[in-house]
Amino acid sequence: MAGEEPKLTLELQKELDGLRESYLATTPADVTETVQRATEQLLVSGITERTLKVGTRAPEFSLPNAVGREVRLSTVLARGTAVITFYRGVW
Amino acid sequence: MRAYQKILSEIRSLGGELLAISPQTPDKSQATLLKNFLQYEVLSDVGNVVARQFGLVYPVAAEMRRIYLGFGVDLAEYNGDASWELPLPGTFIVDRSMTVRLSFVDADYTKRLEPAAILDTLRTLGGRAEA
Repeated sequence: MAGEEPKLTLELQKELDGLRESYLATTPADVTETVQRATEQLLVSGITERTLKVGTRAPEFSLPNAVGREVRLSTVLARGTAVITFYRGVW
Repeated sequence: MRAYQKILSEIRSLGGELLAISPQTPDKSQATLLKNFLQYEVLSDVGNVVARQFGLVYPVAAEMRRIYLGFGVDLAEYNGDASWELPLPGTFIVDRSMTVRLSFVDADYTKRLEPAAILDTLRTLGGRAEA
């Protein structure tokens, strides 16, 4: 078994190198430009002017956590201050 | 996500509790939690219902959808809805009276809130949790 390990590692390394090469080869112009354009469109859309501002009242909510248990904002606030961070996701 | 994990103990010692919210399904949130060794709540906001109330939701542009799909990321599958909407990354601090005390949103994905700003706001609120 131990003898097979270097071979597997080499194959994985080759695969990773291949992925990286194809990423570098295909990403440049089109993807980076599109991402840049989409970011600029969001900035000019005025969306950031409509977000919840300091001094306003936060909405009450209840959402399931990673194991499906409901977490309610007012319950959290009964214990302390809530730091709420929104993220798009992890893929 | 890992940046927040690093300041988690400081957040807690200042009376704060960290909640991370994404439109991903609980299963995907669980994967995020395990992969990144996170010790705070990762909540699942399917359909961006809460993110919408915070004013953060936008439709992913058609040309960006092609890029996500090109990377094998089908948001409909990850998020359990076909809307192809996402929340802008943003961080809010809400005090015990339900009032927003810090609001940071940026449409530019390269800009993130400095974790120190969170701790500063918690310090000014001064509300240490009863031990």
